[in-house]
Amino acid sequence: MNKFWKVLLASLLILVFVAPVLFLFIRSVSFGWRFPDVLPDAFSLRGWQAVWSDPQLIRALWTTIGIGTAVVVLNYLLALPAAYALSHHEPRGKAVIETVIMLPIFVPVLAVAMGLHLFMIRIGAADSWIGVVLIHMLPTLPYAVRILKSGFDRLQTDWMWQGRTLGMGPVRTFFGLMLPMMLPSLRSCGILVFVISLSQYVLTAIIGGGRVTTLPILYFPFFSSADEAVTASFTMLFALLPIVFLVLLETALYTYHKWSRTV
Amino acid sequence: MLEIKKAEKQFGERTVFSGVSFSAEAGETACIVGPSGCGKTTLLRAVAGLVPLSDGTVLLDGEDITSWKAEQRPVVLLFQEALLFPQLTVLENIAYGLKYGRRKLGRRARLAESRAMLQKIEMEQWENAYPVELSGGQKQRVALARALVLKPKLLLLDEPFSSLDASLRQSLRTWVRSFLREEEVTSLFVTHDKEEAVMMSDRLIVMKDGAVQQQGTPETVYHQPENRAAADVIGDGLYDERFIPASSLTIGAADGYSGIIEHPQFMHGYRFYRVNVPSLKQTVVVLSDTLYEEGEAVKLSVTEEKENGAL
Repeated sequence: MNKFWKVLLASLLILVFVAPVLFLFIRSVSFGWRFPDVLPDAFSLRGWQAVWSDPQLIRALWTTIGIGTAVVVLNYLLALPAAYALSHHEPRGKAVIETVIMLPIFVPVLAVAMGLHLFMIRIGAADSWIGVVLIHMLPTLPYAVRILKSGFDRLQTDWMWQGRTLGMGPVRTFFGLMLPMMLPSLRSCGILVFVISLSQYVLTAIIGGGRVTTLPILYFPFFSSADEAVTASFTMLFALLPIVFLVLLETALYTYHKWSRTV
Repeated sequence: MLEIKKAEKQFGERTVFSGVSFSAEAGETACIVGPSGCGKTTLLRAVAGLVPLSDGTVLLDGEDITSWKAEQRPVVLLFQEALLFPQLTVLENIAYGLKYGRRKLGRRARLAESRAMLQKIEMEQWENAYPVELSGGQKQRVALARALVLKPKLLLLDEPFSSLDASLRQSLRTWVRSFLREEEVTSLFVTHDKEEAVMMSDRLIVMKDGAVQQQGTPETVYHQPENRAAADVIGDGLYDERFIPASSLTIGAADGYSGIIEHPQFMHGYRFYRVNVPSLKQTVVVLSDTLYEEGEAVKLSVTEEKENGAL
């Protein structure tokens, strides 16, 4: 690739990925920035201050992180055994089971959510964060099973047998051998599930009944406010959340990897 | 010492092998040779405890381990692939069984023993390398080290050289053979390659159609196969009610077995011909310095018996 194409490619990448974020950031710290001005008249942190001084928003931030993390953990707990079984065993009616697991993606979520709302009310999980966590499983679990299953597909039975013959029981083989080898799949699964959970509005609104306020629930009133600096700050905060989660997840996975090392 | 008595394995209706009995003395390398599908790999896995036997017993140093779980048996199995853990370095791979496996040691002891083993396989400079950086032969050496650091009473090898190219296979065979002798490891080796079998083993067991056809020293089994099946697997010669070694066959006599020249072969500086003998439905490779055409009809005559292939 010669220089011209390199420069062109780099410019395109900057235009598509970096420029919008940069613009958003400048917008969040500018004061009165109107077309056709190239630069804002003045800078101020007013937008950010407005966001951080809203106690409802701070609470929503924690709720969002809490629900997202719970959804990720619950997905791991349910999807790991399911994916393992689907990958390394031949349960009867395997194709049917796989289709049923994928169904929530094909059926309109709203239709299912309405029905599940009644069920949630009956078991008393409506209007609570537990109900919201459960309903977030709907659009996430199918993907989690898919990703982890393809991860397990790459691990032949020979690996487990190698573990057994080196003297590890089934449990140790799972935690000491299979999970460390599954880290790449666990990583992509965790990120995807968190981002999906983060972007749920309708499901959270229906099941949370307005009592469980996550960031998306607050986002709409904020968005309709006329102050663009405040909206931009909120958007930046929203976009930073997955990155914060990524750092946390990486730390957790790195710790696990460290633990599973042998010398 | 390893003793297998009347081992039998069935998958549903199908019998994989039955009536398999043999033994290997301590420090010996026993080798099971047979065509693919003869049940040798399943037998090896059964000895490792990974698949249960349908019948029969496995004794190790006089102790009946037939019902022991794989992780309890003082036995390590090496697979065709090295199966090194990709996220761990060479040294960490070797230390693996010492942390999670049968012979648990503290961190310092793990490090010391793994380093000593690394030295034995002559790969000190690769200590911190990851498996992707190694060649196929190096991977198998690390896999061997990872197994032997556990000091197993029995090492099982399932065609560990089959994924390597010919020249590497040759050099690694020689290396593994002397390494196993030095370490005095009792081992059971499985292969379909008769050359490999004769070279690696102290005791040779010929398996075909789910049964042991013959066993003995490689010298005896190679030169005197007892039956047609054993001759098919291991012998170089023809089998016609008794075994006729290739070394006592001559091409170009007036009478004898009718054969058709398939093609010439050059080995060890000599010219050989692969001859098809339709009446026996066998082919044999015979030494000859005369020139023949492919497809030419010839006679194979049996000269006087020669002892153990002496020219």
